[in-house]
Formats: sequence, C-alpha cells, structure tokens
Amino acid sequence: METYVGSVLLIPLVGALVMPWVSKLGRRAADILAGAVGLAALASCLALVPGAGTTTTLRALGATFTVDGLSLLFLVVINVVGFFCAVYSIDYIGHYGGRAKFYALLMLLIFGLNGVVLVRDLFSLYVFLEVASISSYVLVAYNLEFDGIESSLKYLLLSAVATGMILIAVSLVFASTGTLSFAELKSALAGGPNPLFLFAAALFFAGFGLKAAVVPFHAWLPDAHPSAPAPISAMLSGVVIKVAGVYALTRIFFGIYPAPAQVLKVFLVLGVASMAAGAILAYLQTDMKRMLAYSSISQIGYIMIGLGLGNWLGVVGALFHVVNHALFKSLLFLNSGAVQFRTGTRDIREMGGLENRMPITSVTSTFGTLSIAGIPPFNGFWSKLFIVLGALAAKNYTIAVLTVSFSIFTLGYFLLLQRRVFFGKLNERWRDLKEAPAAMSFAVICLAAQCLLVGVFFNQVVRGLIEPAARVLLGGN
Amino acid sequence: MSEPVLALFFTGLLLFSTGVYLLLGVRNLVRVVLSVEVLAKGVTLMLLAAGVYRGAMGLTQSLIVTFIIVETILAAVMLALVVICQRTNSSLDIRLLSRLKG
Amino acid sequence: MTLLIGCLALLVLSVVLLGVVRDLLYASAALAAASVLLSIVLFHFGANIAAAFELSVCAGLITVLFVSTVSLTKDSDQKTEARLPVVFMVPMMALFAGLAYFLVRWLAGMLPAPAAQASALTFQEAFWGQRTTDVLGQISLVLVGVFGLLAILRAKSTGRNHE
Repeated sequence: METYVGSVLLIPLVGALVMPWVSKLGRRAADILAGAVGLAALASCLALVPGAGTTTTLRALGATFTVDGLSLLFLVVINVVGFFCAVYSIDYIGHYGGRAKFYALLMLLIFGLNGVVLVRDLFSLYVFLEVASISSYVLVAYNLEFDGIESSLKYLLLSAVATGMILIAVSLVFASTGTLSFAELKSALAGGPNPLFLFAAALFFAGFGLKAAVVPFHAWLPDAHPSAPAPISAMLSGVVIKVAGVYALTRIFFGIYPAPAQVLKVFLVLGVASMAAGAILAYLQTDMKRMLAYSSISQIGYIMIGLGLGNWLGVVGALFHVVNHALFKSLLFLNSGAVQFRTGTRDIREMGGLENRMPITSVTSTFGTLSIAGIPPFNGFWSKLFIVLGALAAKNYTIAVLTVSFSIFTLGYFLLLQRRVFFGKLNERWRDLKEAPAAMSFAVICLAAQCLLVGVFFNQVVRGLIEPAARVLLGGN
Repeated sequence: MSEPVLALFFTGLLLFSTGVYLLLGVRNLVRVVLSVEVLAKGVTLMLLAAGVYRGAMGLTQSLIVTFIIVETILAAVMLALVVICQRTNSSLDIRLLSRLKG
Repeated sequence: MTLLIGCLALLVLSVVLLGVVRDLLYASAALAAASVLLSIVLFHFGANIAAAFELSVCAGLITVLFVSTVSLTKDSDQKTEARLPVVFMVPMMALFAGLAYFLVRWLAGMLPAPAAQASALTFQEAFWGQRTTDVLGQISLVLVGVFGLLAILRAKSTGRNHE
C-alpha cells in the first residue's frame, strides 16, 4: 500500500523531470509520456481505494506522507481530472508552442496537489500548495497574450496575499502550541478555542477561502478562467480550488479545530452567498468560460453549505459534490475549450446550432448540464439531494428551499446556454465546422460517461469513497 | 511576553499590512512585485517572532529558510511575467488589469 | 534591545522609502536595505543560517532580479505613479501601526507561557531531519521555477508546433 502512496507522488515528479529529454524524441513521444504519466498516477491512486477506510503512511528518507479517507477522495479527484486534462491537452495546446514545458508544468501541478493532500503538517501543506500554485500561475498565462498574463498576475497577487495570511495564522498557531503537525495541533486545541485561535481561524478562513473562491474572496476566478487554456481552466475550477481551498478548510476546521459552531455558521452564510451570487452573476454572462467560472463559485457555495450544516448527510453531500463538480465542471470547461478551438470565439451570442457540426461536444455538454443542474440519474442529483436532506435533518428549512431554488435556477441558465450554443438553427458562419479532435473527444466522452456512471452507481461511490472521507471529518479520525 | 517578541510581532503585522496596502494601491507593476516582497518580510518577522517565543531556533530557521526559497522562486516567476507583460503591452500600468473587471 | 528597535525602525523606514520614491532602482535599493536590516535582526536572535540566507538571497539575488527587470522594462511609463496611494501611505501605516499595537497587546495576553523546550534541535537536524518533506517540496519547486521561467520567456512560435 505504501508503495502506491510513493508512486502517486513520484510518477508525476519524475515525469516532469524527464519530459524535456523525451520530447527531444518527437512530439508523439511527449504526448505518450504525458498520457502514460497521467494514467500511471491515476492507477496508483485507484489502487489505494480499496483501503479507503484505513490510514496508510509512507516514510521515506525522513519525509512522511499519509493517506486517509479524506486525502484519498481528493487524490482521486486530482488524478482523474488530471489524467483527462493531460490527454485533452495533446490536441489542444498545439498552437501555444512549448508543448514539453506545458506537460511538465501540468505534471508538477498534479504533483503539488497530490502533495497537499498527503502531508500532515501545516507548513508542508504551504510548501506543496506553492508548488501547485506557481505551476498554475505559469499555466494560466500560457498563451503569453495580454489577457493571459493579466489574469495570471491578478490571480497571483491575490493568491500571494492569501498565502501571507495563512502563514501569519501558522505563526500564531505555532507560537501558542509549539507544533505544526495536524495530530499534535488537534490535541492542543481540544480544550476549546480561545480568542487567539479564533483570530488565527479567521485568517485561515480568509486565506483558504480565497483559494476556494468563496464569496467574498471570489473575484479572481472569473478573470483567471477565460484566458487560461481550457485544460487549465478545467484543472483550476475542477481541482485546484477544491484541493487548495476546500480540502485545506476541511482539514483545518474539522481535523484540527473541533468544528466550532461559529465557524460552521460562517461556512453556511458564505456558502449561501456564494451559491446565490455565483448563480445570478453566471446568468448575466455572455462569455462561455466566464459563465462557467461564476457557476463554479455557485457550486462551491453548495459544498460550503453542506459542510456548514455539519451533520452526516450534509458533509457526505458536500464531499460527494466535490467529486461530482470536479467531473462535470471539467467536462463543461473542456467542451467550451473545444468550441473555442473550432470556432475561435467564446461569445455565446455568436454561436448556435453547433450540435449539427459537433455532435460529441453537444451530447457530452448535455450530460454536463444535466449533471450540474441535478437531474437524475446523473451524479449531481445525488450530491445535491444529500445536501438538501442534510438541511432538512438540521431543521434548516430556509437552506433547503434556497438550495432547491437555486438548483432550478442553475438548470435554467445552463439550458439557456445549451440552447444558444448547440441547439437551434446552425449559424451560417459555422457551416464547415469540424468536430473536436480525437484526444479531446476521448477525454470529454470519458468524463461524461463518469458523470452518468457515478450517478447510476452512486451507492457504491458513496460507500466506497465518500463515507470514509466523511468519517475522517466527523468521526474524529 | 517579552519585549523583543512583541516588537517583532508588531513590525511583522505592520509590514504585512503595508505590503497589502501598496499592492492594492500602486500602479507600476514592478512596484507591485516590490510590495509582495514587503509583505513577505512581514511574514518572515512573524515566523521569527513565533520561533523566538517558543525558543525553537533550529526549527524556526528551517521554516524561514524554506519560506525564503519559496518566495524567491515566486519573485522570479512574477518578474518574468512583468517582463513579458511589458513586451506585449509596452506598459506596466496596473490599470490595464482592471480591464478584466470581475 | 535598542539595536533591535533601531533595526526594526530603519526597516519600516526603508519600506516607506520603497513606496515613496519615484525611481524604481532606488525602490529596489530600499528593498535591499530592508533585507539587510532584516538579516541583522535575524543574527541578533541567533538565527545565523536564516540570516545568511536572507542576506544572500533577498538582499542579493532578488535585488539583482529587480534591477534586471527594471532595466529590461526601461521604456515603460515609470513616471506615472499614482499620487494618492503614495500620499496616504504614511498615514495608513500609522493606522496599521495603531491596529497592530492593540492587536499585539490583546494577543499577548492570550499566549500560554511556553513549556521548557526539552529538545532544541539545531538547524541541520530540523531542516534535514524533521522537515524533510519540505525539502522534497522545495526541490520540486526549483523544477517549477525552471520550467516556469522557460515557459514564460520562450520565443513565441508563429503557429508551428515545436517540441
């Protein structure tokens, strides 16, 4: 078991390291290596799934990496989406140039994120988070055009402030307890929070909340997305904000702090704000990727609500939504990238009737739309249902009503998007449009299939992957 | 708590907030990167303060050294982006960034 | 103690200079001065290795990076710095100082007295022994930096695929 922990870390790292030499052998060699690395990392991660209920520790050369139910859930998210984004990139990044460096940075991004969920120490979390973040800053700016660079800088600057706040909180925690490891901090804080820890908690929340794009710290996300290459937008919305943001928040506020009621209330309030603001602002967009970015903010709101409810159903729903959102949001982003790849535009007003020319993209987009709106049997239905049930179990009827209402609203604006882009009469401009290239289609077909399969087999997924993670958070692991 | 530690905490918070203020206020991108360095100095002082209070200088130095390394790589990437920004726009005015209003 | 207060005061002063001076080269010099003062503070508390790092890396390497950047971006409009943030800088810093003072006073009362440290690790033991995980992270970070810089500064191909 330990070897898989090691391999899930080492494979992307070594892959990035050898990429320059392998790419000298030709373009195909680089593509194959990227795909192979992604697949191997994914395989290592899936090999860990049977042991979801247990905790496995790898101690090598003095470094310690631990996987438990919570880490495993996020590990699966990272490596599944990472693999399909790598495959997608094979056809997508041709015109950007710098293919080998892109792959290398993508692998380092995956490595950094894997590291974040496998360490058990606040400062190590920071280091690996920076590995992932700096890779993502470069990847967002990859087109080296004005918009890419500007969005990267805006993202970078806000992220740097967030990191600073996190480190100040770390210093305060270190000064009062003398330790940085999660386990020791947990016992140190078991005696109930004092104002110093609450102050540090506020800083942690501000810092990691920004990384998770929770309202009011969400402003960077809609600007970072449109200009980034589509697979990077998929990684950002689908994975990075979850790992850097949600995972860190859950690890700190459920794992270290004993989930104090004030914090859960904050989760709930900001979750509702995110859900509402994100949905309303998404509706007003004309840029496809910008709309998807605001929708991500809205969906993070659902996750925060689930966590804020604090009961079993809410937390299971929230964690399940992490997985589902990663799947369907990356699917939607990759599809928007395919549309942009072929049409050259992201403005939905210029599109129309694309289903005739891009059937695969259209059908998979429909899968994604139905998933995000929460229509059975797709995966989104179940996670949203759990969150609503959690709200009912907590006798919080306002939240339940709001959640259901905004789900309907989400369905509304996504259907509008689908209709404007894919259905209807074919806009004359796109008469000779071709479907997306093979690698891109392969990636989105697989993701769409997973949205359906996870929905159909939700019971197994919840039992096998989600519940162990929830137990870590609520069972006091 | 002893005076030196208080002084360190105080200066650390002061520098950090000044760095954030400058980052949000100044126009020239190079100066923005300078303000990130300022807030990094603030963070270094906070780490030092915590370490001195705890008396664990070996561990604290490790944290500070790691932090410096991370910040340096970040600074290099930031400055490279600034150089490229200048190449594409012939301007380092941060008001260009507000073109991308969220 | 007076040495410490003096260094910290000069540190704050150099940050003020950094915000106020027009010429970016002077601003970089102010940052370098701030780094030197910070490393003196680190030496004062016995953090010798961290001080050496701060001196060579921040006062040295980062200043070189800034000077190179400034010279590479010479043609840009350095002169049009916003008046308002600069004018308000010192008053805002006074405000921050006031807030920080009260915050520190408040937090000082909260901190529990530190237990006697039985194991005082040396830097070597701590860095290579206890924090090996961070070392692995830093090694990969160097890779990120290298690839990142190469990617950012690459010559843009006009449509043809290389690599």
